[in-house]
Amino acid sequence: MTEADTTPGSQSALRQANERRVVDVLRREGTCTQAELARATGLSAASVSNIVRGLRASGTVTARATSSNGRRARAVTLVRPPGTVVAVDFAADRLRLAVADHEGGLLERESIDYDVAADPGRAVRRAAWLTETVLFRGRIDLASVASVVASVPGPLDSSTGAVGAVSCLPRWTGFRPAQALQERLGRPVRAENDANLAALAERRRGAARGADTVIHLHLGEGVGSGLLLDGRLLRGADGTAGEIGHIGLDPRGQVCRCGNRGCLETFVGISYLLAMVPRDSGPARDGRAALPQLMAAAHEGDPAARRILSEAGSALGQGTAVVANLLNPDRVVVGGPLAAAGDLLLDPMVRAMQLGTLGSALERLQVVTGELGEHAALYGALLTAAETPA
Amino acid sequence: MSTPVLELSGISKTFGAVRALDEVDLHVQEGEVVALLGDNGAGKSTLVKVIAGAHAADTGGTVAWDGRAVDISAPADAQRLGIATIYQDLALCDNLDIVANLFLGNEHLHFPGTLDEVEMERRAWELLRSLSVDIPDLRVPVASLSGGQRQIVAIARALLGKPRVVMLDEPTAALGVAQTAQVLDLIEQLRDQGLGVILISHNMADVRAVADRAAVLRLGRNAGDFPIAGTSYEEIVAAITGAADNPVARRDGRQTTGAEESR
Repeated sequence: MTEADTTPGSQSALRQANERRVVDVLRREGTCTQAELARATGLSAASVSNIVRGLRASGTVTARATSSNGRRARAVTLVRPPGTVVAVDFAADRLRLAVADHEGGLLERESIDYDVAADPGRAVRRAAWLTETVLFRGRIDLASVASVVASVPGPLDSSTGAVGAVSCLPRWTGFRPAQALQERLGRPVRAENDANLAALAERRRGAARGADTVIHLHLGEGVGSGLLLDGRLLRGADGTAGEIGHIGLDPRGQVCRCGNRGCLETFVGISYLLAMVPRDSGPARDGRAALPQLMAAAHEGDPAARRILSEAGSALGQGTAVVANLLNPDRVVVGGPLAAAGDLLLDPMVRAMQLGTLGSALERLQVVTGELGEHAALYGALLTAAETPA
Repeated sequence: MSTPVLELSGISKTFGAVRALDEVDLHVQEGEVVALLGDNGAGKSTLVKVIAGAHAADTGGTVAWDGRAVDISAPADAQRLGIATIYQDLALCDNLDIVANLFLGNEHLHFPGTLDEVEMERRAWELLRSLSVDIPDLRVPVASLSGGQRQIVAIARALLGKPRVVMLDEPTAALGVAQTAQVLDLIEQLRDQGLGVILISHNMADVRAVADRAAVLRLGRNAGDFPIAGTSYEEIVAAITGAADNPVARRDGRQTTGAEESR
């Protein structure tokens, strides 16, 4: 029965509305007894009984005999199409998890502090715990999970699934997160680079909607990027495409953890920026400066903080200009923790890009901040998981 | 394998006609988390109380500490050996602040008899920092803390006596996801510091997240000892519920061997 079949205000429209109420409660609460359904919807016990009978006949719900406070009761469960999907986001100091139904509609979300960088085995163990715990809370059976996608902040070898050597998780080098998580959960797991997933999410739901060739920059401890060419991810032969943070800008600059000198990362990476904060200045007033203090000081007009962000923006612009000449993107999305600096970072970045990019490549190019914030990679993982054929 | 810190063998305990524990074995190594699992009434709490010295075990069983036979007949004995127990109710004083709770009954004094608050606060910070616990203010009453933080304070208090074995009774019951995660972090910290941890929990996800081994009790008897890695969730649950060991399963076993019997 579809909406078009019924006249508004008619008996059957009323019944349809009541059916929807019952289904909504079941979707929200999981398994309920008929009495609980009646209380939650405000319908009479008799109508609930009728509606449940109808829904059972159409295969929408199942009912079984049970007892509640010693009385006979009927437990009603919504038949979910198999295909719950789970997204796990491994950030350096946080674990994030989201659960969605087969259409990508969000069911549960949770995040906990965890030292993910310290030990990959433990991080995966804790991620499995978080998955089991959140699924249990949502009354979702682990066996109904069709696909899990893990977001990892480092390059992944596309053939072996191993984490590459240069990432902000040095202890993860050579570790295969998807395989480890799959062994723990017993469900199919895929891993993908966080900047790639964030790029997909921003294109689908965020700041890169309508753009086909997208550079998504993730500015955090390192500088990563997700590259979309004609809407498709560019991964490269070994999965390390988009490591824009290691474009060399200054042959006499600081030595980078990758072993080269003067990489973009040494100008934009958060720890490099914090190391530039002068002692006893605004952001460093109470002990060691952290990113939130640096941002706040810059927004309040602290000259040192502004200078640091503006130089970072210029360096970022120089690096991005190289990639823009190469790929001719129609949108550059700036995401990650540093993106909160907004125009303080973007204005100098755009100026540097104007100096370093071909006029024709700049014509349609827009530089914007991401809309999805710290959840971009998680959403991207969820969307990817929902699209994975079961 | 090295000698276990604590090893119990053949422990029995009867309350009148009720046999709560029947020849139970349990051992825990340094730096190992052992989950003690079982249904309600399986004897978990009785076993914990025997180890903590709250109940004396019946004669016949032995308790070994570092391989030497010892006698635990009172809570003070257990404490002297280095066994700390954190019960579910935590036994914190809600109206006292964190420092006062940590040092309750064990206060540092200046010579004539005033409290050395500065020294106590310094040691409290040191302790909490060694556990990577982040509590902003140690001078707030415990009543204002979250469930997870209260659990952490109770565990920290137990650690002041420098124990080598810590028993936790349902530390994550009634905690939210983030708070449970904090307590699990702390259990991992205890293991990393080389303590033996006995964890009682009904939550299989929590057990699988931090335990190295699961010892299952059923109706006062040992019902299995499983390494967590390499044991499926179903096997452990089967041991807890006795699904593998009941009249129906036994009869099924007989029938499959005795072939064509009528059901």
